[in-house]
Amino acid sequence: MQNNAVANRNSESILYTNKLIRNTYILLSMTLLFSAVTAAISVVLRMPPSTYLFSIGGAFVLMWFVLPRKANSSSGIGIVFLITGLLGFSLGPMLNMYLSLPNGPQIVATALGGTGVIFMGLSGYALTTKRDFSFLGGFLFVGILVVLGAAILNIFMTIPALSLALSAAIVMLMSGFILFDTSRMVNGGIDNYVIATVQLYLNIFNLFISLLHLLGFARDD
Amino acid sequence: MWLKIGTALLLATMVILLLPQAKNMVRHSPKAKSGDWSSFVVPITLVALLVAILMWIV
Repeated sequence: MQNNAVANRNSESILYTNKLIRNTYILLSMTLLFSAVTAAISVVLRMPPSTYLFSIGGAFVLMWFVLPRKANSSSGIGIVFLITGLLGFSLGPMLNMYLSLPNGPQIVATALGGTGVIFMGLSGYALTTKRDFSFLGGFLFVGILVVLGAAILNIFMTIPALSLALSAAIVMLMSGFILFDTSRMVNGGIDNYVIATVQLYLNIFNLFISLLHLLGFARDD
Repeated sequence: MWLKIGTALLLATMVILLLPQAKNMVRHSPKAKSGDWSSFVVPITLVALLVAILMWIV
């Protein structure tokens, strides 16, 4: 009797995890598509460089101060679309800059493809091996703080080599975060698919921007 | 110039908001077991190789 109760609890837990993963990836796909649409609109409208700051700032405010309160209600999904829409819109000026380079469309397409391959590869690895990557938490968060600090300095010092090193570091850190966040879904560290979606989206977003920067440098004649 | 200042302020705010979470993670993250770091380093190395190949292709 007791064995049946334990088996039932385990199968309920597995069903719950599978539902969480399914809902997260469905919402992630929809928000990525929506974000692509808002990015395209921003590109076509030729938005000024200040768009990046205001859109990211707006998304940031929503993520830190609104989403935590709304994540467990149906309005949380609307907030997620608003966040990802703003982040997509912020890409317009940057994409226009890269598209105007010689071979610009190839750079953007390669960055997009590379981001997709890296994300699917790492997610697939974390989902199939079911390894617990929670030990990475401290390392990744400290890494992000170091990168953010160096980025603040580089805004005013503008050292190209440092900028490149930061982009490379962000690619590695975001890859680590993809493993970390996916593992948290599988092993029970997170139970809200709205929050999980935003975390994975941010990993993909930052990965794409950093890859774009690295490929733009590689192509720089 | 104001764009640079605005971006710097935004990043600084992110650092301030992430700091408590980072401290919490460092204190409470489980220790890595045998084989854990290699299970992280191998895929990350593959990612680095892929990025190098993409940079060479472009």
